[in-house]
Amino acid sequence: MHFSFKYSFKPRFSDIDKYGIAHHSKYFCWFEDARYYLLESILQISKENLLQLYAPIISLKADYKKSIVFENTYVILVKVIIDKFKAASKFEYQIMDLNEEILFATGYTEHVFTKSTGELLLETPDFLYDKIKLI
Amino acid sequence: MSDLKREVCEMILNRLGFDDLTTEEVDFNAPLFAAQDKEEKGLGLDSVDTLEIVAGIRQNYNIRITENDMHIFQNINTIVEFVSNKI
Repeated sequence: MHFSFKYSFKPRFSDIDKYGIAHHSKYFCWFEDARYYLLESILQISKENLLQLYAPIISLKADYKKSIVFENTYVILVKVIIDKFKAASKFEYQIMDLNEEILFATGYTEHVFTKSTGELLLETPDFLYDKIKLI
Repeated sequence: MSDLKREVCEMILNRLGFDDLTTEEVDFNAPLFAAQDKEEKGLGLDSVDTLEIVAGIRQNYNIRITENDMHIFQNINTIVEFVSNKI
């Protein structure tokens, strides 16, 4: 099951390092912001469910193409890949300018699902599938 | 070696990326989660590898593994036995 969405952001002053560009670590924070935007705003998963379901990262990557600077607003194009025959769910990210003409970075995170107790879930929870089907 | 045993083993090797191993070289009684130490007793798998095997069994045999079935993850023989009993 694949689907895509967009999340826009503007770097904060504190995101910028001494070189005048966004620090490499911030890209993963923006990836995370985009994921939470998906869960809370697009899928409208309740805080209750979010507190009970954890999605720890088991793998991540970022490829930096162009430097991100303070003044501009950017968009993250996110592709979600959830496959019941795969162990992990994958989020793929592309950071672009608002016109989606210039690519600044690509990356991905891979997640498994656990209960809040840390117990690994053997399958993606049904309520998540049900929400995604409605999009 | 039975066809099913070979098939399950190949699925596990493919899913977990053991490209340099063949089914003939695998110790079917080796503990899945024990480290691959100097004596090479364990397979050194982790919990995410378990999920790969769970997904593989579901895809190949349409068998859903639940939390109550976790005892099958002792070695490859116990997984094969579980699949054999379910199909």
